[in-house]
Amino acid sequence: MKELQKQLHAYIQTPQDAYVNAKLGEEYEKIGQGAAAHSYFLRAAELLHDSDPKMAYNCFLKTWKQLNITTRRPDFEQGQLQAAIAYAPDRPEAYYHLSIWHSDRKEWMLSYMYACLGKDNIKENTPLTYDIGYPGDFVFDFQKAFTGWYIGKRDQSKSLFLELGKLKDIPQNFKEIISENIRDFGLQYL
Amino acid sequence: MINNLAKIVLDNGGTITPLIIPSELTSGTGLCNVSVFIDDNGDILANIRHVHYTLYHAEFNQNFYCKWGVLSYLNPEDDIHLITGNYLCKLNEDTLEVESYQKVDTSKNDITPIWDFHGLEDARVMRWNGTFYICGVRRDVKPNGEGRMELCEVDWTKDHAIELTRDRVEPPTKDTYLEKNWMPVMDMPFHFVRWSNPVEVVKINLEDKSKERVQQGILNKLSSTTVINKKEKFEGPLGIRGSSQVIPFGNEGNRICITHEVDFFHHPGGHKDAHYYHRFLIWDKDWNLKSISKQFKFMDAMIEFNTGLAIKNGNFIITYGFQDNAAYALKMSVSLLDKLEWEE
Repeated sequence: MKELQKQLHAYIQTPQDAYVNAKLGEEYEKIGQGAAAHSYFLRAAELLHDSDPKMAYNCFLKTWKQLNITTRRPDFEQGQLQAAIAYAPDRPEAYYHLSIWHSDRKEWMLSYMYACLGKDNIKENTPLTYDIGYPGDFVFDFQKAFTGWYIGKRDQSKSLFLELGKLKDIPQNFKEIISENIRDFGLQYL
Repeated sequence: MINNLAKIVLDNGGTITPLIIPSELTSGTGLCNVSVFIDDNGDILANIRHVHYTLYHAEFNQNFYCKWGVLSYLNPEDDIHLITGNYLCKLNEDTLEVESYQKVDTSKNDITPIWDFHGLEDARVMRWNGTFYICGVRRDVKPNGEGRMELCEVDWTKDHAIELTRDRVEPPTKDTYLEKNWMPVMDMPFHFVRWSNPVEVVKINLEDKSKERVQQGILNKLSSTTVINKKEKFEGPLGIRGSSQVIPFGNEGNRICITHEVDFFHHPGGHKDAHYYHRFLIWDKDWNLKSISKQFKFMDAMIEFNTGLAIKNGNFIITYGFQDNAAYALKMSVSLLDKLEWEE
């Protein structure tokens, strides 16, 4: 509450400072107040639309994230991710989350497509200021390996899981899934 | 016009407090439109409206549309009703933070809703003749969404807040569609300011009870009568409507409240949008308009909405919602009124 108060006071002194809006949004997100966080991140995104596209993209994706946490707004989520790609097509994060959005619905081809598009757009991958759940560029190969299995790309899927299995610095939950697949498919490193 | 009342308040020794109900209870959707009230024992009580949506509202140049435009109620997509619940809270005397809260249990009086908006909206809080009430607008009992103020007695203890009675108030004039934002007059039990400019005060007739069968149940109803109807009107740019309660002010029988007004427009995308403004308004003891402030915004947002005003220890406590997504309490010295801009 103390940090929230501090950022709220900063906001009141300069309510059209986009970066102050974003900080206040982040504090609200930390305490689970997604609606309030959404308001301030959206203000920040609007204020930065023309002056700082990377930060605007980050804040706009935060509006998606709040409702992703709230759940039960899938069409909104899809729309926000599509709009984020339209605004910054050379950033990878929204492609990744759209790939997941579709794989969650067993829409394997669309999920695979967004994984391919994301992989082709990782050149602007400098980290965003505020976390929107992007563990790293490896996620596109992970999504391709996962969804490709269902659309006739099993050799590619096996090969990608083997390559992913060599990665050291990836989150543990991904490592476990990759290891399980390597084991279950009886894959062996040559 | 004051764009940022909160800054003036903070710069003059006041405070602002976010009002929070844990997200485990709300899924993180909007908290807004808070009504504050000082009880007989000095406790600071409040009703926080919890909406089951997050309001999407792009401001400034409105570049970032969501799937449904720049202004959208993000209800659960598997249940797009606009649902309101209410939390009665005790606020900390020093910090104004929410100290304890109870969700109002309305199950005793609920009938199955049949319109898009569910629940009691923008409830104001008061105690009249020793009985604790909340009073807001309900629109869910008739197929056309007719809205009426409903006066609800609440049994509120540290363990529960149970709506005991629910009476739908018929306005003095027939055939109106939507009655809302009636401002309870705190020192005149069962009286409301129905219209602010020119002022119309109505009295609820507690003895004139009736029942009405509607599609899903039976409504308990009370009639009302206009008791004050002034002609004198402030000529402003927009219609002035009720917001806070009306509270006694000063030693000469004056009363003060906060009003709101809405400036509708169509933004470049062609959709309907709005700016909300508020004002302080003071009547003398005979309900003559004494002073009205310039329009103000609380915190620079297009959509803000006040539903509460109280005085404690020389300070106003002013409660409001920000974009339907966040709730705040301002503590503002009463003397600061003199530094605000007022209409001639």
